[in-house]
Amino acid sequence: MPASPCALCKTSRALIVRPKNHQKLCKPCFLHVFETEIHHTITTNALFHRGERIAIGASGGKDSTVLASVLKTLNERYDYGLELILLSIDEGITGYRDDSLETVKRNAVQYGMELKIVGYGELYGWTMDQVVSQVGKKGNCTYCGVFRRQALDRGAAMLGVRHVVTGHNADDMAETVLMNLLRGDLPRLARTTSIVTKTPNAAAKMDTKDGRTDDGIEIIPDVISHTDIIRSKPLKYAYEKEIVLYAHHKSLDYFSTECIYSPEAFRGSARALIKNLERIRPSAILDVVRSGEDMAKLVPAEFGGAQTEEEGEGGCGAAQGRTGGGSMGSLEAKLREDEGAKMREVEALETEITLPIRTKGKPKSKPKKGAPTQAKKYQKQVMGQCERCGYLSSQSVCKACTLLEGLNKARPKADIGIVVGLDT
Amino acid sequence: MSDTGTIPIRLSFGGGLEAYFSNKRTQTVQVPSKDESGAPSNAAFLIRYLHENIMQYHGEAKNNPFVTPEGDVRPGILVLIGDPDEIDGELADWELEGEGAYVLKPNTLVSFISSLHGG
Ligand SMILES: [Zn+2]
Ligand SMILES: [Zn+2]
Repeated sequence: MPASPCALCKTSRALIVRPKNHQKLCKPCFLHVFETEIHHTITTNALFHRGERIAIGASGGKDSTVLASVLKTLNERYDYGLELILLSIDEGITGYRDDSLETVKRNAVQYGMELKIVGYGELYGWTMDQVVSQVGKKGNCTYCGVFRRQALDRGAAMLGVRHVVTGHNADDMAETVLMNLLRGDLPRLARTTSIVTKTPNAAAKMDTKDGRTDDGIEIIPDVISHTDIIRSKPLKYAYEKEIVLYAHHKSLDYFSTECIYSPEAFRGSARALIKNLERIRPSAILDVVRSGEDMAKLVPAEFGGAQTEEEGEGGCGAAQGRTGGGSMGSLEAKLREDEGAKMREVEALETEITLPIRTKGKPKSKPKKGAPTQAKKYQKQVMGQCERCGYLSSQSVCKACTLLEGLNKARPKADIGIVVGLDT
Repeated sequence: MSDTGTIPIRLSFGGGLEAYFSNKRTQTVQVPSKDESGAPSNAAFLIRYLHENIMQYHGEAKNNPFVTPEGDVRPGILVLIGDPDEIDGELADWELEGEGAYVLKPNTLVSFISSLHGG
């Protein structure tokens, strides 16, 4: 086949076919276009402001590695004035994180970024190895998943950073849109398609003056809590294929492990559907993301417009630890070892029970478990916050705190599989 | 298969696929220069050949991480081709090289990168 010339510079040989528009590009033009589109995502959504410290949830995997590399490039090229920090989570499983953490450490040197690795031990007082020795292998994935959901927020708070970026890409977003569509869960669809999400206090603050004084100066609290974190997804519109190609053509150093277990059936099917659609019509992925955004606009604010970060979406295969975890499939495989699919199914459903939390506005009084939502007359319902740690929760005590209580009482297996509200 | 000789093909695996190919990120294999019908071996034949002769996988066909039960590369795996005649030595999307119809040359580099794992 004769080589095609690049559609932009018309001189170099095209090496890449862009999935979203079939454009054929040479390497330098592709790299530049990819970076420029992310710059546009950042500027049109006003994701950052000058002087902001940003923690990049870094797993050593392709998405977070590309995110770190691109943000470094853009921060210099467009003078964003950001301070970028790598934040990695170590679950504390002997041997498991060695390779991915080594990758992140090399990335820190390559990109000249500060790296903070926070362990479950530091965050919760329990490493996963200790959890396993306490509760045994059965059920320990539940702990790992529940702890992981808050880990980046807690880690960022330890660093005194209010803003965490994660490497979720367009394929992840399309998968989430489809899953929520197939479940008929438009409120959740509305929340998860948002490019920015906030934990309770940050949401309350941003609600007023964007967390700034009248003069536009950012209000920085003395102590940043993990309930005070903004999360955003600068790669939201970037195709997974292009992320992999970017990593390849920039020779980025990333780590990937093979999943031994397939993700939970429903998510796996949504993923496969997305990938099959992409093969037939590559623009389908972005079309699904855009459709999700349009549907989100139709969801009344009181049902999900607030884009508050919630505990949900964990479990095996959920975004593969793109929230800083790494390859969750293999991690959970390692944890799970002799457990069957049954447990996985239960856990996957269990991650969805936090669903009816929506809104911004922080209740001064702690919501009582089972108390009627007093917010009928409010524009938005009052959300629940954990009365121990303040994290967003559908119950008076969040799952992490419930589990910790169980562990700390040396009571093996606090069965949070309770699956409240599980009605399928 | 009537053996009319082999050609060396350079392979590279990434994104976790190397786990099924002796844990080697790169290797060179000798591939028959003609396919089952006697036509010059192309990329589609290479994938069949790798699946049947080189890959180490013992699970069910429907879960095969490299090819679908129909024998196509699994969606989500990028295939890149480094044509030995291109002086830049770069890898191109196989869409630009005719996909499965790309006729293998001695020392063609074929790279398979899974995008399915890890973040
Ligand atoms: Zn060009
Ligand atoms: Zn709590």
